[in-house]
Amino acid sequence: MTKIPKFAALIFANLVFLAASLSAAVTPNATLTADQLATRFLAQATFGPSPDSLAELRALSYNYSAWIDQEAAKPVTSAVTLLLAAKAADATITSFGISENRRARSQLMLAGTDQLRQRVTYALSQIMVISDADSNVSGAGEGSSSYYDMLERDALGNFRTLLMDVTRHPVMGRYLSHYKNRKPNTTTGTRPDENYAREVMQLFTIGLYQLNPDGTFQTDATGKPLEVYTNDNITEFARVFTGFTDDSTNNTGTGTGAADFPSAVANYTVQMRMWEKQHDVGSKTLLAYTGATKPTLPANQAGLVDVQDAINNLVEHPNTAPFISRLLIQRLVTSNPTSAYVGRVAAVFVNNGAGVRGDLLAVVKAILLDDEARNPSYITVSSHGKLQEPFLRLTQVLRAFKYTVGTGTLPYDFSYNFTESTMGQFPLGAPTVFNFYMPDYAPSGVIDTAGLVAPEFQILNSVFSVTFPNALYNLIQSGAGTFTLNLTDQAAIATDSLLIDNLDLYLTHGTMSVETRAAITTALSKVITAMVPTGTLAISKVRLAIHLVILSPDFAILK
Amino acid sequence: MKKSSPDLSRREFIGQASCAGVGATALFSTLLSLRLANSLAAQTTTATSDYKALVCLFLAGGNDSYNMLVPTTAGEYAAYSALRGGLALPADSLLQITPGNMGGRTLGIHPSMPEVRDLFNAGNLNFVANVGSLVRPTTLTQYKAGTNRPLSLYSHDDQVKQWQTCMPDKRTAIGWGGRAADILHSLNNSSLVSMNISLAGQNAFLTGQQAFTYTVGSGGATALTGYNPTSVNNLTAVRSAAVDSMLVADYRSLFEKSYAGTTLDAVETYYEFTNAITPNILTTPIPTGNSLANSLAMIARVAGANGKLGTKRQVFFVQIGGWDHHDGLVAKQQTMLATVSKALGFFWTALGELGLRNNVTLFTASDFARTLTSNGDGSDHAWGGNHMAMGGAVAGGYVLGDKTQGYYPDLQNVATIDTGQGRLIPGVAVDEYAHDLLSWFGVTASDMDYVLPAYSTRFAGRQELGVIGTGYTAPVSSSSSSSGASGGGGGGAMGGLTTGAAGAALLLKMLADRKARIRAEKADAT
Repeated sequence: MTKIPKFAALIFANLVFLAASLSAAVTPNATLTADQLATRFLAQATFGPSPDSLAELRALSYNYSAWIDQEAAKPVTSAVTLLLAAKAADATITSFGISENRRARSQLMLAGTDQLRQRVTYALSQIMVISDADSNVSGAGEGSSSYYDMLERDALGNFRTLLMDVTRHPVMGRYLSHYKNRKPNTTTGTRPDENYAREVMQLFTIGLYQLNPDGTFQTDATGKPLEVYTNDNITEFARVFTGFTDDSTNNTGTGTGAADFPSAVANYTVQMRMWEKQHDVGSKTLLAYTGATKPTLPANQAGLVDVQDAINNLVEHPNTAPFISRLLIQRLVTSNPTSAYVGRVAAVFVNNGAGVRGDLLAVVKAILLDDEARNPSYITVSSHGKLQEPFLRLTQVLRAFKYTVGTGTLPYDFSYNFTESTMGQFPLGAPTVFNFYMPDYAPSGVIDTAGLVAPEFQILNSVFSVTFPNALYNLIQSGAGTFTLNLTDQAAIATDSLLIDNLDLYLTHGTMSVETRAAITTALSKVITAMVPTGTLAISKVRLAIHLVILSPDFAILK
Repeated sequence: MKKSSPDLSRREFIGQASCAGVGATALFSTLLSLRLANSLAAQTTTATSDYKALVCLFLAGGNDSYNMLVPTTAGEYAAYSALRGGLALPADSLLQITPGNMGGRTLGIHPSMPEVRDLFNAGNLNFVANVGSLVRPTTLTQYKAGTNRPLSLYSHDDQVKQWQTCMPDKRTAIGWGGRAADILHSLNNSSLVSMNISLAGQNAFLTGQQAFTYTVGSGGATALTGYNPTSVNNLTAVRSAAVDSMLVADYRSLFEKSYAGTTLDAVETYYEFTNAITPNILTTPIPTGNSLANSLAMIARVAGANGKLGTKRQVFFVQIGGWDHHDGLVAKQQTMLATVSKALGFFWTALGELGLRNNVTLFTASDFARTLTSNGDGSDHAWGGNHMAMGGAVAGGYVLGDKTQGYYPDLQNVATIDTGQGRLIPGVAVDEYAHDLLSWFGVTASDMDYVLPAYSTRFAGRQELGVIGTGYTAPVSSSSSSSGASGGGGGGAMGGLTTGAAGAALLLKMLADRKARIRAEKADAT
């Protein structure tokens, strides 16, 4: 027998870990100024701190709660509006493809003054996933942006509304194929499509396993997690999600008995309507749990009543609060929240204090203001934080340095520089409904051995760990797509430790380690005029310093 | 642990250096440059003896493989057609095969896969029927009683992991390709390039307790811009020294430590890897617009560089996604299976050019197969499905599987293995499929308990599948449009691959018929 005992590997890893912690391991700085605490908060709550957003917090005397309320009160913006305006202004835009949609959304994400809403919208887009990698979505005109707008409208609203809007969105209908999903047909032997029924449970609401209120698994006597639904539940929910089709006023059905869906122009932006004659009107069994208001649906309910009842059945399920809370914490703050943290947030999801379940503004506030998100003592906890996904590292660099864009229509164009091929991701472009990475992904090595997860590491591999910094290098040196960085402020302080202070404030939020600072300082001190083109010493130093920061673990990991 | 690497793995190296208190940045840089120089100097062009590579081709999303391999004897086809309804392929469109082991029972390969048909007939490819993740051999009664069920059966990510780990009753991300590398990597010379190479990012299959995955694109590896470990006295040298010092440092944060380790591996391995695969010696033309073929071309190049890399064993992972055909199944599969078939035909030719046909075995895997019944225009998640193994070492020309089911399940009698809507309980476990491949790869019986922990206790004693062995060359039938490629020899390209023109025409007709059927379906929907 040559089995390698797992415990041996564990002991070995722990010894290494112990040795590493006893020796002078590189440790982040955790003594932060008010400004540094603020940029750390903004890295969690926005697409990255900028001089302007830092000024907002200063003006509020760093009152984060007041800032969140101020953000929530800002008007909702719209990518579809940007697209339609672009079409009206530019005769060369005759249709909306992937590029136009992405440029419109990138503009909202980067330039939107409603940064909290944008960031939460982006988080939701990684939970209730649609993707323009699917031709049903990329070919749906402005549909993917309409979906983003819908998430944005509901991002700080109520989860119940959000889930119903997600379910009825025509692009979600196409992505998970409940659009024109027909009731069972005994003549042809077909039955309803199970796709949406499965994923709305597994990914959007309750997950696979029975959860305690703090998100930990409920287990059987042998310690195995208990599954929360069966395939029979899925076939029942599949029957609920039948009868959806394009919004139109045409009430003339097609086929024999005029029972099939009416002819209508494809509509990618208005909620799908219910065509009752293709809705399965039989009674249905939903999920049974303590307190379930309607665990079975009687026969002959109107289609949308069935759907709303099913949505309620999921929203009110005891799993949903901890499941969604944990996913949102992972997107915004840390990959491995303690169960207590999940429990505190989930309790707010269950009841916002005014008896309302699913108040997402309250949930987001609970996530961002929690001690585990705010207390700087967590910065040096070796299991705390998360790998910042490439897109967020990109937006952080752009916003830190007062980027400028070109002047054309829909100018927020990353072109070929920042795509799935260089980053391993692009917003609303996941390879499947399982997003770019799984919430429980654990890279082998110290993270897995310690029993931790790190979703974003699923797209950190020997390809993207080089191609992404290379794309940023191009941005720093000469611009990328229509984007250029404005490094005037930094060039003015290039010969001073003020430069590194500035980069530390905006890119590493005051957490830059002594060692990383020393490595960059040493490098800058060695750059001499003979090494760079005439008259570029200052800007060359700035670019080198930024490049080194973006390669540093200090920047990659948000702590 | 019986076998351990003759030298330290990258992470151990850095870890130990740190523990020993070697902290000076300059020393690290020197050490790393030396390592690089040594690894490059060690490269020769002599091929290693006893080189073997295993290639996992993962069809992500769940290929509807009961339309990839279809029963065609009269009663069975009728049962297939009745079960599948509007999803059934017309009998006369299928590429007929007569496997060497089924007593004259015939099957049909999807009409868009003529290259696969030719590889099968020439004895270089076999099918394994109704294989899937099993906790142990399972009956319908047991399934209904809730025993032996894989965790979260029918869910994508779980079934993907279970195929790749062979541990369907555990939540783990350590795969059997990775565990094989844990055992066998010591056969390879010390190299910065990992034994396990992915063309599709991180995956459980290649992840071992120790083995880590080196990921490349179909164009190879990429150098870090602005970095060069041999530069002196210029901006690049200044930058490179700083990068080295940041990436080799020992970080307290486990996230920072992992990030630095992964990035360092990538930055450094580039040089050895690129040197090994340069210049490109592969001249076999790659089918255009076929990203899978591009990836397989890179795999062929790396396999061909086994001498330079000093490797005797490699495991590759490549993936083609988009098989989750809840909708538009027939039309989408027609295009995608053609892509797979052309890529496999290309890979076989490329391996021939490199003289590696007997050294490389490719096999397919997928989340699951799909419901035999239709949801209108597609099918939903199911369980057991049909797969292919290709290579000079495989027992080609056979359809393997559960012998008690006659190898390929008789669709006239699926009631005893159908959990509902045509979700079939696998007759063969992935463990059994993997066992044959791993035995060929060099995992000994005593090491098999580590690589496939469930095999000896739960599946041994059953008849071996026989994936590896002498192939069966089908007699060329008069009605077949096969090129009659002979099974012997590993010479040039496969001659005269047919495009399956007759099949394609039939499929077009079928798609037209299908539209008519959908119209009829609508008319019936009262």
